[in-house]
Amino acid sequence: MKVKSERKRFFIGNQIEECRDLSGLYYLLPCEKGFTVKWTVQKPVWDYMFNNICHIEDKAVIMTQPLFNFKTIQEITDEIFFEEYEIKSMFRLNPCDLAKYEYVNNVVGKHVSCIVVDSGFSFTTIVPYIGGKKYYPAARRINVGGKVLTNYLKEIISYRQLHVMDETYVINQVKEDSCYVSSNFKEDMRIASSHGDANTIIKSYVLPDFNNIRRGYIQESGTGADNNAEGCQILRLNNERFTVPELLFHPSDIGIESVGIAECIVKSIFLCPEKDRPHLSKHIVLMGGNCKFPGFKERVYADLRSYLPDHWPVNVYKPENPITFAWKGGKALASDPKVKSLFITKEQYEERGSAYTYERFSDWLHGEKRTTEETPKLTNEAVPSSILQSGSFTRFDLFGKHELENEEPSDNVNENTSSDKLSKEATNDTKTDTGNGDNLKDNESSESRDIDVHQDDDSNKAKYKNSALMDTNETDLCDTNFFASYDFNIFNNSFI
Amino acid sequence: MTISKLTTRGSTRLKEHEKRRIVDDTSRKRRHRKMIESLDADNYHEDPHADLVMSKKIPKFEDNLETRTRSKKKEKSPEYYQMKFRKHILQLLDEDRVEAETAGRYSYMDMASEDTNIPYRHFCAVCGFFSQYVCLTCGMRYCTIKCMDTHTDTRCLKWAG
Ligand SMILES: [Zn+2]
Ligand SMILES: [Zn+2]
Repeated sequence: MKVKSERKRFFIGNQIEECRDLSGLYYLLPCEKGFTVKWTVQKPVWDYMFNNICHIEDKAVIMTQPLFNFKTIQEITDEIFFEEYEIKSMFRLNPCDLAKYEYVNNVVGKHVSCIVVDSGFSFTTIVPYIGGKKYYPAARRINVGGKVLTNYLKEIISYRQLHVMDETYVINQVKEDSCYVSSNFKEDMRIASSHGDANTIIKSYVLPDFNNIRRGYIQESGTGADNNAEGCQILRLNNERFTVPELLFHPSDIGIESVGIAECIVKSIFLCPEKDRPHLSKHIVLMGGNCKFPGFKERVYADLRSYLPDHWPVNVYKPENPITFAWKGGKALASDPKVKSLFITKEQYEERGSAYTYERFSDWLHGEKRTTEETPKLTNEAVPSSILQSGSFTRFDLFGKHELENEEPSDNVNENTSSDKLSKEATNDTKTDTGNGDNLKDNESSESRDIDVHQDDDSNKAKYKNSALMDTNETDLCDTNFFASYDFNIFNNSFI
Repeated sequence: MTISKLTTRGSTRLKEHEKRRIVDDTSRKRRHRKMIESLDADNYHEDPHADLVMSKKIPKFEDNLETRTRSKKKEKSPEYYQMKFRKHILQLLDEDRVEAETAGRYSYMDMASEDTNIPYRHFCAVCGFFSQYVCLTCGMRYCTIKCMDTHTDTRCLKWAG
């Protein structure tokens, strides 16, 4: 991020703590549509992380990338990591794959077919996994993520109340603090249009002045004078509180010609082979920052229940921390004895070049259209995830004080605890370093976990610093002794 | 006072109505597309100081170079990678589509979601509640006379020329 007062300086992730004047903060993001395109932004973020937070030379790195991550992007990533950072080996996959891995191995405990719904910063991705493999014919992407929500909220507040178009950072917090997913849209509209005490939805939000108030908050009604808020600017939030997240379920509300999340899940299920459908509806996994809106999971469940046949079981799983869920999967994967075969080593890269990594890490290349795709054993499937979704999750985390990840589009959550923050960071783009691949097998998973957690605590602050905002996440691997995990979203933010 | 004000506004509206032209469908669609694009923007701002050279006095990322074990000679500047990249996101998307067609695989485009089967809902462009009326000039929605006045005075496309 950049700040007006120190315009020649960037703040990466946690460095935001060093910034006194947060007004007019703006973001510089390395990603567009979830793909890293601004290397002048991305590279310094990586430099910062890997110099200051975790060292990756001679380590194995697991990195997340969006589905269909383009060849050019992968080539440059290879060059940076293998040639400049001199890592030992790398494995890249989609965050949905990691979520599936975590869900199957550590939540359900047996191999099941499932649908991963990743509602992130740039978009929402819905990917069915049948028999452990990604089923591309039914995978779908909705171009609504936390980014659109924050931009939309900025737009309507600017039109109706106060010009906030330059305050992405603050409005993202407003979104996280005050928005929710309605479970009865028409009824909430009715309540919001009523006057006086009958309107239980309208709230006053005290904007931060960055002097006494570093983060804004909802003013509780009836508590009398709020001394802190004296002289502060106040927003009146009414139907905005639920019409904004509603875009996830009805993009058509602002004229985006697309199905919403619930309808898309249903369509996706019906694109899968008939025998698998009732199994899929039983294992719907939510991840991404937008899942943190209050009421999100309930809404998905209610809508699916009403769309799907009565005799099909419907079960929606929302991890404790939807933002770090994929990162957790990466952490678990790093200690899986089978993981070693997935990596491409520096030697292999030097010998066979970037074409080889592209081939190995891009499962969408294999398998023909219209047929079920078979992916090579070793390759996990990649699914595109939204960047900012990830993005959306992440930005807040990066800044440390805020828990949400999305910088712009962010997800909302107020309740994150510091521990959440830790994990969140990791979520979007996670890098876990694990030490030597050789030792992986030796580590007890439990042991490594403990260590891991510990590590996380120590490095929390550091983690926040990384505000990478990309979709490309990186998870990595394994140090013999411990994992350090970092997330990055590779988005950079800049503030004005 | 109130009454006269209303009357004035009313008559202004009438006059405007007479000379009002109907904005054609193309303009309406263009406005809509622009709106969607702005909502999808990742970097709402270009870096306003991009042309400024980073001051050497100010701490930068490279500050902690001494903690780095890898050799400095391999280090390349961000600009080096950017030069190498030189592509626009839309270009990348298109390359992916072409490659996919050639190979008969799925592409980024194939994952785009379909339009909804659920009827569109309509909202007032001013206050956000359900709306029943359409601006004759530009096609935007409003719910009450009050919102219509606001719309006409602010965002109505009659201003768009
Ligand atoms: Zn209205
Ligand atoms: Zn109009």
